[in-house]
Amino acid sequence: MEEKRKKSIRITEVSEDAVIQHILPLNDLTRVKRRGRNSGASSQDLVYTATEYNGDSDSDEDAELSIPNGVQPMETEIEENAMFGGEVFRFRTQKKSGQMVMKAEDCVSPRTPGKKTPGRGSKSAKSTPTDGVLPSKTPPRSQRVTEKQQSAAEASPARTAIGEAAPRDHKRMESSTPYRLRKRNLQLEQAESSSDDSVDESSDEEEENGVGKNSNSGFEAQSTGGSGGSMNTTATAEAYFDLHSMAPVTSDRTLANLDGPRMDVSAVREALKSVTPGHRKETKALREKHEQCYGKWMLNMCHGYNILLYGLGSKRSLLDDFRTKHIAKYSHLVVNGYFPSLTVKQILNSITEEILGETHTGFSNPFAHIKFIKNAYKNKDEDFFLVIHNIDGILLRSERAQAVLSLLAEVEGFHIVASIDHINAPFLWDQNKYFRFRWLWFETATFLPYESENAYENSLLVQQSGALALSSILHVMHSLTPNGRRVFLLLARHQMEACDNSAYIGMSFQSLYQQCRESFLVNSDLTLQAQLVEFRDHRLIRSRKNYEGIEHLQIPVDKSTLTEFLNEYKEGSS
Amino acid sequence: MSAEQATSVSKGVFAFKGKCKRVNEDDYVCDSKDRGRKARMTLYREIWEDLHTQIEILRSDLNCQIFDDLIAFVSGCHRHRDSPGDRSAQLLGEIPAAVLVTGVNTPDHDVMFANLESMLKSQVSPLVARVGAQDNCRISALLSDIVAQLMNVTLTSEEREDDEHDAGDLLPGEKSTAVSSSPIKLKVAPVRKRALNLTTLVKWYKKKFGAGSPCKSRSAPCSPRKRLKLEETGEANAEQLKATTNGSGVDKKPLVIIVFEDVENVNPAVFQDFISLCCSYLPSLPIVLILGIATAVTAIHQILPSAITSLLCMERFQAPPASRYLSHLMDKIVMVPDVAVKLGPKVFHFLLDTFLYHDFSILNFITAFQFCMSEHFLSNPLSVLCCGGEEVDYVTSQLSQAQLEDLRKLASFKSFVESCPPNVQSKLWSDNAVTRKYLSSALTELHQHHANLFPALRFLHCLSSALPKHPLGKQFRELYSLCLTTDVCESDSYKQAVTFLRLMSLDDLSKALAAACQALEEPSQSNEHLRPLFEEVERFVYRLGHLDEEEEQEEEKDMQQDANGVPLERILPQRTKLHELKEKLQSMSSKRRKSPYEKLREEILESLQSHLRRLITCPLTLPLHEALYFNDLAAVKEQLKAAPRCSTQRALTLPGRYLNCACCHGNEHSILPSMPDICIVYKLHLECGTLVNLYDWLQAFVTIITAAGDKGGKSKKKPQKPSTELRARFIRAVSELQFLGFIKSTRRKTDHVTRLTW
Repeated sequence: MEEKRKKSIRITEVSEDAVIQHILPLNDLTRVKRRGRNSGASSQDLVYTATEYNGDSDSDEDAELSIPNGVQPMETEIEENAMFGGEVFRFRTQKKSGQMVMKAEDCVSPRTPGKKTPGRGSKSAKSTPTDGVLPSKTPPRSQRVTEKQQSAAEASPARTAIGEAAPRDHKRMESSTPYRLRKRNLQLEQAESSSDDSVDESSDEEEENGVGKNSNSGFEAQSTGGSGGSMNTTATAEAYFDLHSMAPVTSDRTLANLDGPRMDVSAVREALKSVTPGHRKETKALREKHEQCYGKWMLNMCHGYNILLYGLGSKRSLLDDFRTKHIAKYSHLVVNGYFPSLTVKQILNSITEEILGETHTGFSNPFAHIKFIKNAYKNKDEDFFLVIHNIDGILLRSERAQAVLSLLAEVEGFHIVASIDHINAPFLWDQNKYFRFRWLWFETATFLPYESENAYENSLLVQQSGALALSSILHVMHSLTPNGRRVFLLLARHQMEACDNSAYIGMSFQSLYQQCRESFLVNSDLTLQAQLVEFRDHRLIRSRKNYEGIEHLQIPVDKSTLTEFLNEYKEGSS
Repeated sequence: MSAEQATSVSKGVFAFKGKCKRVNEDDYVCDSKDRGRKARMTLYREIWEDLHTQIEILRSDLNCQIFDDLIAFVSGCHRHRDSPGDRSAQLLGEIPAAVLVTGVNTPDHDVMFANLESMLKSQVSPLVARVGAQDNCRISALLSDIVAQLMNVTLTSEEREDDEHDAGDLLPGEKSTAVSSSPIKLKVAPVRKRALNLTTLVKWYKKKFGAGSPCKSRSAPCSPRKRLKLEETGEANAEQLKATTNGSGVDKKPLVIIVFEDVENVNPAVFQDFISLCCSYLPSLPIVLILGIATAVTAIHQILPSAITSLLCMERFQAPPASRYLSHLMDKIVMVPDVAVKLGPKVFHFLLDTFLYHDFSILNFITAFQFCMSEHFLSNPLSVLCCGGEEVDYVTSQLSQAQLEDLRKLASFKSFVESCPPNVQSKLWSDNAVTRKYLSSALTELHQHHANLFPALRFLHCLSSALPKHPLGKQFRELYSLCLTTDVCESDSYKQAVTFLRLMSLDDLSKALAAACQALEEPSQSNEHLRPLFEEVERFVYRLGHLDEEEEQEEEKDMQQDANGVPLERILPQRTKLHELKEKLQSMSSKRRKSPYEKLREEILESLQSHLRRLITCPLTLPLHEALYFNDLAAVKEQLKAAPRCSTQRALTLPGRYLNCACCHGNEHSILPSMPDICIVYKLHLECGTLVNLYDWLQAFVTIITAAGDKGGKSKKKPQKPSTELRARFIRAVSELQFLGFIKSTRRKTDHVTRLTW
């Protein structure tokens, strides 16, 4: 980083000597000069632009990298990965509340130019107030720029007018320029062209685009990735802590705004069945490409390496195919690492019991178990394959589990084919384990949906609805006695009536008992308690005590599910 | 059948028994497209076998030298044990402990400790126990493990059977017969685990190594049957011990050596208990501890309180850094002319950087090197020519018509043809005999070049390694890597080194030259290309040693010159301008007479440079170097040092590049409706801060998806209610993101998720 900065400073100096071969820095210089004339920029500005050049010059550095030079560090040798690394590992940047929606619309809008939906108007109106707060919120490194913008914005009185004018000039912009950025550009353009007419507009726009990108560093990976190295470190640090101390701004809308109950797993699966997956031809081509590697995998396993597959998309079917084609002849074990109740002991036991045919299982710990397996395989002269789907599965993530697996990898004749999906999966292995595994990595991106892997995973949308889906309530209801059913309905209706009250903590036991008695559902509080035990066991109700110590009963589902339930039940019972 | 599919809702592990036992490697070697592959793989196996034995030898004496000190220390412990005069040291009750600082290359330690153990067993005492890191979380387990190792009893699963036998009230006599029938095997009757503690060890030790021991510890309560069993095992062991002690002629009681491989990973509480226990048994057992530590001795003080460390009498031993061993290894297998397979500059740097900046692990280096070799033979058809210098003729003459045809298709062959004289060029395409002849001559030349190159480089290294600032590197590998990438003699660092050499004093130069000459002596015996250099250097060394004689000659010459020359010129004019005077003085100083040493130094350097220029050129400029040099970094890198997260994220941002479809080609910021759902969802969530609102996310997703079917331009007034299908797709994409580890659920706000990456 230090070097980069030095370099960038030198560029400004060299340009004084008019070195011709550096075309880009020259451009920068002219830009700088022009800028200096425009707004009487300070020397700080000079430095700023110079460093900014560094950010833009990624392509130049690319060219440098391709020159084979042995003295360069390792990272520079890989072209693509290194370039991508800056994008993968970066600091958190400032995000605004509606940015995602705007981005979505931005990506759509180039297809329908000139269209202006009312929703969009309201969004832009909503986002304007943030402009006012901008200087305090944005990282200081961009403050100079934003201040300039601020003054420019103040200079032009009709601010909202500009905002509305933005779509008008739409076509001139790059399609990927975000909406807010465009607006800012326009402001700047106007301000600058009013102050100095001699400015070459196109180059100006290009320049300001660059600056705007830097300040609005949300999705401009190039600027964040590239200039991230060259920016002032102290400023970055401040910005970093500013960002982290800030409460995240998100809108308050919830999924309850949607009609209907939340979908449960089976409904989701049902709905997905009808979806035709896109890119079928391409994924098939990918798959065929991977299939050609089978021989290589086997050969490498013969040489004592183990195979690890990574890349986006479910690799289950690929691995299964590989297994049936090449491994089926030999003894092997398939482990579904994503399985929610998998233990290492199960794996070891399957090896000893089902493969080796040993009956006794009196091992005090897995390491003794492995020792036994090791001895059994010592002079057996037999190959054994371990196919592990998702070796980074939740239950295999423990240190111990991985230690056991890595020790298994050392057993004579054992070969492992495994897949990983989690982005932090390589952290599972320390040096020793990694060495024992002797992995060879193969990138096999399949772009297939994670069907079976995800089947056990709690989907966020289902889980957050209180772990209780409509179907489960109905299911329990069917098995209740008529009286019990009515007690529950009573409770549900009460909750339905009070659902607008946010302070509602449930129906008190006393009032429920009163009402139940009145409807001849129970004859004593003991019988009611017996009914409630049934509900509680099925997690249909939750009881809380209020400040007076009185028990209140509540059904832990949201309003839409409850409505659905009442409707359903009305239909079902009638 | 669910078992065949290996999916089930109730089971996560599926075992299948296969009919075949061994994988036949050859099935996978043969490739329909590449006929020569099989031949190349056999070649690979031969070469690897060769290298492997070399590596094994290197491995076995890994760190052997430093163990000498350690072993001397260990065998010196408890020396005065039996002499009554020196009891005071023992009364202090300190356990002698050797702290072995091993360095951070933990994967290599296993080999190192295995070596140490065997050396200790053969040279010091047969009673050695080795404790690894993983298996001891309780003191009882640790003790029984150690005692079992020392007493050489097996703690196998037969333990259970043993119990059954006990229950069946078998007579002890029967057992003893069973044991005595196989005393050689030493896999003696199993002992119950809980019977193995230090007390039993003391009894066993006392019984075996005779009376008169100063042991005063009370015998522990022990059931007669158990004691009997232990005694049996003891007898069997004692026989072996006697054999060893008699053989080595040592007539004293063996030490009890306990080696902890990785102290940092041992449970501190257990370790503390163990040390205090050992201390209390010290009067009866001559215990010596060897503690392996990866980082620094301070780690021990962090693990143990001072009360415990005061029981140890520690002495520190530092294992040499792994890089030294690497140099050793590379001198043997990478940077030698004899090994045919060579690493190209890119791969060489990659492996070296991985070692130096990543893991320091020798074994990893060897693994990677092996993989490079196999890749070379697998992927490069030219590698069929990869062989030792003396086999070149044989190999080329054995090339079949098909193999020659394959070779002619290669790009490197084409460039080889272009390097040949024009009248042969056309023949090379058709005439097999000519092709064979030229291939053979080109390869021989390459080997000859290697034979010249390495000694010459070593010679240069000897000269330059002591220079200030080390322009050509401290290590030989640095010079070699420079040689691989550029022409050394044209490089700046070489020129700098020469300038430094020009300034060397007589003593330094003669010393360096003598050392360099020695390095050259052996290879130049058989190599006529090197001999002129060697002879010349020898002459120079001699002349440097007898500079006085030359001085005399020089003086004579100078006298003559002085007589002939014009002394008047030297006399300055009476009146002159300051400027002129300055110029004059300057020119005089530059013309200053050189001392004979300086003249000789000039001569030496000129001659050396001309020789080096002749011998040292980059081997990658020679024709057909592809046959020997493996330089395909991309292949190695992807397989050995992959970046899975980068790959996943690249696939998410640029799906078009992977899928190779026309519809998804955009830059990293654009979101197209045709992209896979998960990519769209991922790209959208990049726009959010720490928290992501699920509702907004869903809406944005729907906006993008529906835009595809909305090309007609009908504007929608409101974000329409998403259909179940869209919602299901969204749910799936989000849960897949969760599965990949980009987001997780949060309770901070309803219907929000937390981002985990930036």
